[in-house]
Amino acid sequence: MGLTINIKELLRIILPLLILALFIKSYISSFFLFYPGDIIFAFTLAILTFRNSGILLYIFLFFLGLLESLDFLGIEIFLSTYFIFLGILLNHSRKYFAFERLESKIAVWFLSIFSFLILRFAIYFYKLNTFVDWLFILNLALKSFFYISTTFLWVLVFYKILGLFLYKEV
Amino acid sequence: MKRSRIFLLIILIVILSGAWYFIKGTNLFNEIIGFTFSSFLKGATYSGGKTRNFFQDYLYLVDLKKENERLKEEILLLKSQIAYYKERERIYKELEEFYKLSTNINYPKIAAKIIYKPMDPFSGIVFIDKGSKDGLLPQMPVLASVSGEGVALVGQVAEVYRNWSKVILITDPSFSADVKIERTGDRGILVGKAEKYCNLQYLPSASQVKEGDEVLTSGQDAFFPSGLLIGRVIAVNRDPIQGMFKYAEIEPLVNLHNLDLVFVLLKLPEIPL
Repeated sequence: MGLTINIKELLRIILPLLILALFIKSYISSFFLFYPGDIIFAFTLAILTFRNSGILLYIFLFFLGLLESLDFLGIEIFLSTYFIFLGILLNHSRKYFAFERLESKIAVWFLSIFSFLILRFAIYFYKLNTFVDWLFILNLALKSFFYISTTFLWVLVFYKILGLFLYKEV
Repeated sequence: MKRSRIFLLIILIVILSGAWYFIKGTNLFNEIIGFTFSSFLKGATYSGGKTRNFFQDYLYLVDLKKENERLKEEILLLKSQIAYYKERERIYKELEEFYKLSTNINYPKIAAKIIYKPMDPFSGIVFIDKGSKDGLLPQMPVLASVSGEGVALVGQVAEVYRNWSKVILITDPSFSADVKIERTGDRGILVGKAEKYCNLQYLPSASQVKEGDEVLTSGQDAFFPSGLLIGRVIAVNRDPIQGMFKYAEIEPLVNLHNLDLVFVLLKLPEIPL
């Protein structure tokens, strides 16, 4: 048994923070005119660091998957399933990692972001209808670096904010 | 008992969303999310853009601030008012110019505001504030004006919901269009790759295409009417995979990052797909 999410903290803490995250995502991209990082995925990872079980968590993960899928075309159910799968996987992997250590958390966050990036590449290359050259690969590498670093920063931000309200970590 | 209720609820939601898909042909969850968040996203995007404009105006006035504090405040106040009216004037001018310039495009048009730009590095999707209630359908062409000199194709409607729609820009990897070079008449396929430039592929190896040539829709793909400007050639090379063809890199005529007003051509594909 882990820490179960309850309706009170969902309504009082997590949902308002999610609304704020959505606002920031939209605001930053229209103000700075650049990609602000995968804020919804970062928010999901931060939530999964604090809470790991309960039917509410999985319903919330499904909802987060739907929000994430807004930036894509026609993969709503796939991404929602991926988010739920991520929740289940992180819950089970807690047996094998020392999650109380910050280093372990950082490693898990990094691996999760990296695996999601691979999934995004799979979707990208599935849609791509042109050849790939070295300049193109270099551009992709730069984009990936930017994606990983910005998303990772957002995980740290949400982890710090949630840490103020959701005291007990798993 | 509790589990069986949740299970029943999930089955009910699945049946409901399935029924919705068969009746309406759209995703129920996206309809709900769009209905809930479209105004919110619109507000956030609008305020982001406004703040950007405000700071641009403010930076412009920094020197005046040093000279006279009172005058600066007065100017800032007036500037904000002027910025508001300028923005309105710009939209009206853009609409007026668009309708003037697009008289040769014989399709009804509808103006739409961008409500959300994800700026995703691996795709090129924007949300607009018009949906099925305004007559939009998937695959309709989306245009924007090119600094008051013409109109250019910027994308295609991909998903349509009641109040909003998703548009793929010409830089999105899933975008493709049959195009031709205006000067030489050579045809090719324009594809996006989520980069600043698009690729124009399958140009004949004997093509005399060169830098600066303009690229237009050919009208042969049944999606886009012929003669719509898209971009300008910035580089030409031999296709590294299929040596019998050339390919060119195309710079879109419209700055896709700065889009805020677009026009949807209410045109259906000419062949049933």
